[in-house]
Amino acid sequence: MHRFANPARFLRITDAVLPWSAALTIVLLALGLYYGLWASPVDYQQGATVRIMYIHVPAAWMGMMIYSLMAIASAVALIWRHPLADLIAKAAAPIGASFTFICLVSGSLWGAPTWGTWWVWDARLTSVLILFFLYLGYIAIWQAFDDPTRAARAAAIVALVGFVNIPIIKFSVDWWNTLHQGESLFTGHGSEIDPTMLRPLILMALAFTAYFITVLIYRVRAEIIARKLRVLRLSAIEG
Amino acid sequence: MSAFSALIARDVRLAFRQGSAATLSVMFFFLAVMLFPLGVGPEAAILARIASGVLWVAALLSVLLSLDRLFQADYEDGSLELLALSGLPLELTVLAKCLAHWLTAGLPLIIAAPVLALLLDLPAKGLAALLLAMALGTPSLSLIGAIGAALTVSLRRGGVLLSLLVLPLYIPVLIFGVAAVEAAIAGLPSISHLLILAAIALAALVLCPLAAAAALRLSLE
Amino acid sequence: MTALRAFFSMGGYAAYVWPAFATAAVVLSVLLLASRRRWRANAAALASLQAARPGRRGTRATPGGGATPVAASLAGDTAPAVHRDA
Repeated sequence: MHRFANPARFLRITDAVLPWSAALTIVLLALGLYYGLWASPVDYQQGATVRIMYIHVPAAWMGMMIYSLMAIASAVALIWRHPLADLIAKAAAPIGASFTFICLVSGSLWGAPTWGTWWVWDARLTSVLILFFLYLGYIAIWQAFDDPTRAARAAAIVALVGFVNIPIIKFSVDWWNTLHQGESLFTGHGSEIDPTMLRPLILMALAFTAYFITVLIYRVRAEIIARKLRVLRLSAIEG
Repeated sequence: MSAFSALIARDVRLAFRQGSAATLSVMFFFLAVMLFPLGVGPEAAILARIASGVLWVAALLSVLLSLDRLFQADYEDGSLELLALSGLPLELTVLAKCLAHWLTAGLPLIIAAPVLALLLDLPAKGLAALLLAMALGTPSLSLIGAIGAALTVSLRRGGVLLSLLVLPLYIPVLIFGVAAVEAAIAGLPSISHLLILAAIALAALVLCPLAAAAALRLSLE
Repeated sequence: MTALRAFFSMGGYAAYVWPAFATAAVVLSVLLLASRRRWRANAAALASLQAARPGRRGTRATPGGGATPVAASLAGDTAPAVHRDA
């Protein structure tokens, strides 16, 4: 693990990864959009709105996956004081928040024609909304501290506390939703999925993952340089 | 153990000596609940329907507003550093302060709740469940809130950030607290919801002091 | 031509399908461009700062092999040696 602790080595590794992840993003996105928007059948019940699923569901996956990654990175940062883990968690947060936002907006746009309303207090939508607020809290605590080492540790605690709570929140929201389910609007998509629909779904999920890796590399690099800049500027003031 | 109880006694005494802290929480609780009839209209049927939710949300916000006094004053006058240096582990210090906070911010709400339940026309069948649920749920609010209070203790404007951090974590307590009351009103057993609230409180009792102490340490260094 | 029109009308759901894809496109593009711009801006700021104070670089940089100036200077980054060995 500490092989990656050296920022110079991180830069060298990501130098090699970056062109591949960027190219992969473009290729997978093109394939995913082709199959998702064109070469897949429409749902016999939902019509063409089912195509929203190809960004809605992968975005939800990304939102959860990135928060888990942040929690792991935060644990590594707190336990081993790994100097890059903080930066990876910090850099990942806005990307995860963006995917969660996309999931919410596309979910709302999907709900309007299928459920007849822009927002339903459906268990999944509500959980994703709460996840979005957890992301915002994490980003806000980074910005609240002036001292980056304190901010890093505070943010790591926030990420871990949030991560421990996510299953409890998810459980309570699911339970709350079954209690309050009035007319059953929820059609239960995703239970039985046709292979022709699965293909664009997987392709888009992979495209989003490649996108995430690409943007994460840019953001971590920016953070590494920002930290270096800070040290140089501080030493310029002191010396 | 004596240092632990002495700390609780000190915090409780301080909360009452300032003449305000504990009573202010209750006053806010009353005011927040009072806004709902003014907002949704005076029909008794509607108020009775939403009473359990209104009471819980108001209690949540009331506890949230009082969280800043958990560590803030002690941090500013330096006594928190002395407490950290004393023989008592910081985790236990946090636990003592949480207990004191619950005694002065949570317990008064439980005492005030029956009056407000009457004002909102909460069905009588739900009252016992409401009080039990609040007794089991409000300690979790103090404990979970302690993490947010500890994280924001050194920040000048921590208030909004505190609510952004803490409110999402309060959702399970809200859901099961309201569910216990609703079940009792519907004539169903509410024991399972109360047990879940108790489980949340026990988990919070173990985990929250650890996280809050870790958060305090980074502000004390 | 009719196939194309059918494609854009999305079976009558164009008002929902296209905004969903557009939102994703806009959010992801803005994030990508902003991240890239910040990286470039930081790298440029670092380069100009080091160019202005060439004496510091020599003392600070640890043997970083044949890395770029940015990477070489980063090899002597703030991470304390204690943490790397721990």
